[in-house]
Amino acid sequence: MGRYIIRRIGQMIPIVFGVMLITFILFNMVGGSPALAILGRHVSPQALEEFDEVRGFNKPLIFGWWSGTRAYDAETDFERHAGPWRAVEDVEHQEAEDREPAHIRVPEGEHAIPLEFSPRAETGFRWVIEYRLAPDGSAALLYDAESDEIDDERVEQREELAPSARWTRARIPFESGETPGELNMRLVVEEGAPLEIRAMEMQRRANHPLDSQFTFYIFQTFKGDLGYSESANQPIARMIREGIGPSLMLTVPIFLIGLIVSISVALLCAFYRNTWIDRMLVVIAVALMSINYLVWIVVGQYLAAYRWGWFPVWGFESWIYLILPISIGVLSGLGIDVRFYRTVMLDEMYKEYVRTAFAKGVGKRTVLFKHVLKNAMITVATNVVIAIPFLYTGSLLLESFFGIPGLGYMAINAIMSSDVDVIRAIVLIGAILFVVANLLTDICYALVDPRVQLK
Amino acid sequence: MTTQMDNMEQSARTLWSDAWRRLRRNRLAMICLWVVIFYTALAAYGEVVYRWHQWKDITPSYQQTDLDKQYLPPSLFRQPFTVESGAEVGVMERMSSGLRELARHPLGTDGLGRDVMQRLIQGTRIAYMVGIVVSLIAIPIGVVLGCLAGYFRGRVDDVIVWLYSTFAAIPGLLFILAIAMVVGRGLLGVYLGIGLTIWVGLCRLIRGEVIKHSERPYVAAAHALGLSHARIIFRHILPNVFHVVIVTFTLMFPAAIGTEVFLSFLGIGAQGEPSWGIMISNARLRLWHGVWWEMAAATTALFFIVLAFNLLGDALRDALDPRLRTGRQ
Amino acid sequence: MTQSNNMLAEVKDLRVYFDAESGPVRAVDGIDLAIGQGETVAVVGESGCGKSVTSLALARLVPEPPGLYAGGEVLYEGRNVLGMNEDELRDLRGNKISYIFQDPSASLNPVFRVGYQIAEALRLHRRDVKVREEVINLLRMVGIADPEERARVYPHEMSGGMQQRAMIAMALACHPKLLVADEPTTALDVTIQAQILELLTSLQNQLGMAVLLITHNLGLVAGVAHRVYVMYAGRIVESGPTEEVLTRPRHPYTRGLLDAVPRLGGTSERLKGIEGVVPNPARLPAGCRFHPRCPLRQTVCEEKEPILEQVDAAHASRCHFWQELSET
Repeated sequence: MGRYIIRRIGQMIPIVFGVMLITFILFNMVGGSPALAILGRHVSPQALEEFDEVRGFNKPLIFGWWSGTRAYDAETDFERHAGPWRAVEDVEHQEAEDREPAHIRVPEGEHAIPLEFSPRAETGFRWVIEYRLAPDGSAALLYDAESDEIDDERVEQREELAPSARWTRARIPFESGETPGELNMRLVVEEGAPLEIRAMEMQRRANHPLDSQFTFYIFQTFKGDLGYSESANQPIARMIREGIGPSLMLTVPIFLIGLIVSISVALLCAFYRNTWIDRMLVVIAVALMSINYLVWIVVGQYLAAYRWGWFPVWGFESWIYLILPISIGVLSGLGIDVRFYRTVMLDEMYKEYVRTAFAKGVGKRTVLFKHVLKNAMITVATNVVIAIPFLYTGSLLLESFFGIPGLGYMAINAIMSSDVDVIRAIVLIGAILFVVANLLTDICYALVDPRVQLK
Repeated sequence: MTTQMDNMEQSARTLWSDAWRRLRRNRLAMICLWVVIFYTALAAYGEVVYRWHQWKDITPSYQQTDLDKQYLPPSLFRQPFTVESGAEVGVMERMSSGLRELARHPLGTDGLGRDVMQRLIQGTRIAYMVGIVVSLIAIPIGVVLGCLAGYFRGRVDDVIVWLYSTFAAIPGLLFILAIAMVVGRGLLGVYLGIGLTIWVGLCRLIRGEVIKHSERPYVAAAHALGLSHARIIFRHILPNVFHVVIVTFTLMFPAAIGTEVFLSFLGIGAQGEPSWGIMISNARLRLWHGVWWEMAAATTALFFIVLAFNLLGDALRDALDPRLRTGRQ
Repeated sequence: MTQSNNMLAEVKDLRVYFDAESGPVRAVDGIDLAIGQGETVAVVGESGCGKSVTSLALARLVPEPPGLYAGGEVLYEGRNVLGMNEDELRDLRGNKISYIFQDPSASLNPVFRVGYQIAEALRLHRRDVKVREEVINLLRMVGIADPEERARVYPHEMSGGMQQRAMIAMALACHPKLLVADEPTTALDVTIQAQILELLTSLQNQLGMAVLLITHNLGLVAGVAHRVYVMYAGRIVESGPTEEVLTRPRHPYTRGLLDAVPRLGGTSERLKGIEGVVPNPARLPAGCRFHPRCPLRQTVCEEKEPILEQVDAAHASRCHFWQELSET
């Protein structure tokens, strides 16, 4: 038993890892820059960089040495304008023409490279430049670096750009100095002007290739830090702690009442199987499950709360406010549950042990409520445990419609305001609960079914 | 051995005709099939109308605001049509004008004076688009991954099982919402959100079936004949497990429609087009002012298509897979 | 045939139909059968011939629906079982008629302990006994070693033979007058089969109950059953004393079945099966139901169904040409 659990936990780890990976890919790779999304476009690049620094967003995504830095505005590729070079005198922008891509033309002379802010000190960087230079041309990157021989002395370093008639890409590494602002990056064109540059990017070197956003995220999560919600302006962990109560107040009664009612109805179907009562109940169940959840809520709220005034319409002040959402939740889930449990019961009803029980002289009721129900409970129990993680996320729609401040309400708000961290945290906790519930299901199986042994 | 394989194919063929025979005898299933055909025709008609307006580059009437006609109830619920009294108005004329009145906005108009029936048909079109595109995304993923996992087992199986276990662990609706949010508002987000999450169940079923079939003698026979893996999977095993795909499709389709309504209601789905979700969302506030017909139209349309698909799915499962039948021995 | 007044159970013109999409399936179609006190009667036939349904009908155990008792009656000690109410049926089942089924692993409830399942029968019908001790006694009686221990295990923890012994213990718990054994050995290993059969015979002698043995194996019947009924496609095609039927079969089907039984040290002749398959009970052939497979068929067989004719006082055959089969 103990060994089984340990092995199962071992199997859970890759799944939790997978969930983290998928949500990470979803939100961090496809979703664009979170800093921009949250702080907006009118913030200085330095502020954005600091925001990223705190959250690890300036690291490579999953694996790698290099990642972008906002010191040189990497978002521009000269497609429409010269980008940061607009501020530099004499540099012309050439728009795309026929086969020629858009690029900038740097005339003869020494030009300071337009940096938004001084890059971090004592860090490895590199330039990635895609350029074209006449064969007899000569151009180079100049910067100040610490001298190897004399302490505290900075000397000029020069990195040549090899002439090339075709577009070519050069990667030029360099180190920033001890104190920021000493770098003094320049681009010098001596002969064969202009130097044409199609794309230019400054990248920062990570300490090691695993020092990525993903590992940062994993370590942050392991420390129990779920992040900070920008839209609600509070730690996500606290939001979840506060939201889980109302959510459970809603979902647990829905679940328990739904379970009891649907199993009872399913037993009724099994008892009257193949009669008009069974057939009628099945038709009602299919009809109930065909009504959209949304319709249940909208129409239920309109009729029961507004039109007939039986319940309060909106709010979360006493248990009275929960009656209507709970009833709607129970009703909307009833159809599918009744059908499921009926199938389970009927499958059992046609097993041979039922015939044996009848042959012994056991009455129909006892056969159903003792022999069949105990066997069906195996399926029911596993189904119950597996449903538990879904209780925690609450009900997205019910909560937002009836103003119940639970996790579902929180999730809808987060989606509406694109608050990625909140959704990611809710998804992650939900997934972990799901995986744990899976393990509990198997243990439960072994407890209810004498045939199953955990190995 | 070839004969054995021929027999398998033969039996696959008779399985289909057998299933069709059983299905035809099920009256409820046939009614549902006609309902589905009716909706499909509506969706096709809606598509034609939509394309025509696009091609002509004019705003279709279901998008045109006409404030003179707002909140017109369905024709059967309007004030009885009164003809100015005059001896010269004949019975025929009275009848024809009455019929004309019945045909004018039969389901009424919404708050902007747009015809509810037209919008409902466009909603059918969008629902079908979502159902079809989602199936086109999810079924290939589910079938291919399920076949690979079930046929090759081992490492391939481990990876695929890990993948779908991971997907299954993520709370479904939130996952769909998150994908839709990342992709951006619009139907593309809906397609991807539903399509990329709904394949898990199909994949699991197909994997189980393929594992079962891989152990059958006809697969061993195909191996002995030196057929390629791809041929064995797709020509020999797949036809025998295809009924799972059909049944799953009939359950996936209404699920996709329902989710689209949900997403559009939240404002993440269809933009500016009359999806049922948007109709319900619009009608919700008007309902409180007694304008019930837009809500009734959208919810009824939604109810019947989902009901028809659910019942049809049940009947198909009974017809195609007698082992899975419920209720009879 | 023997007079009906001292018969324990009797089946008269019983018809059991099943509801199917393609119309009613006549699983049992007009059967007469009688079992005397303490007698062993066998019903033999291929699978799907209706023999199991007949046996279940004795205690009205065919599930309704899809089953339907379309006609005839089942008499137990002169009372019609098919007319009994729920309480009377419960008193009959397990108490006066009890059953052993083919597959003990499926027939025992997997989630109850073996002892409990036996005790359940006792509690229902014999309130006078000490349940625990009686369960142990029963288990010992059916040859289960270490019965105290065995009463506490779940069915899946026993071997197939043990499970069937437990089933027998359960069936015998209330000392029924009639034990119906529906293919009691088919699901078991060959070595176990003989043991179970031996156990049944010795228990019958010990308790003096009647046994209705349902089997597809005619070889099993010899030396066990006093009388035998051969069933085909829902009808009895031949009946008579076992000895008589086995040595002088008066129906081509019975002969076919006998030829299909392998015999140790027999002739080097090839085993003969019966050609063709059991007809689909929803689409029975016209005339004699056996004619498509019969080696002796004539035109009359395709047109007219034979009646069950008395060959002698105890032996009957449903064949137009039984006389021609007299000597083989």
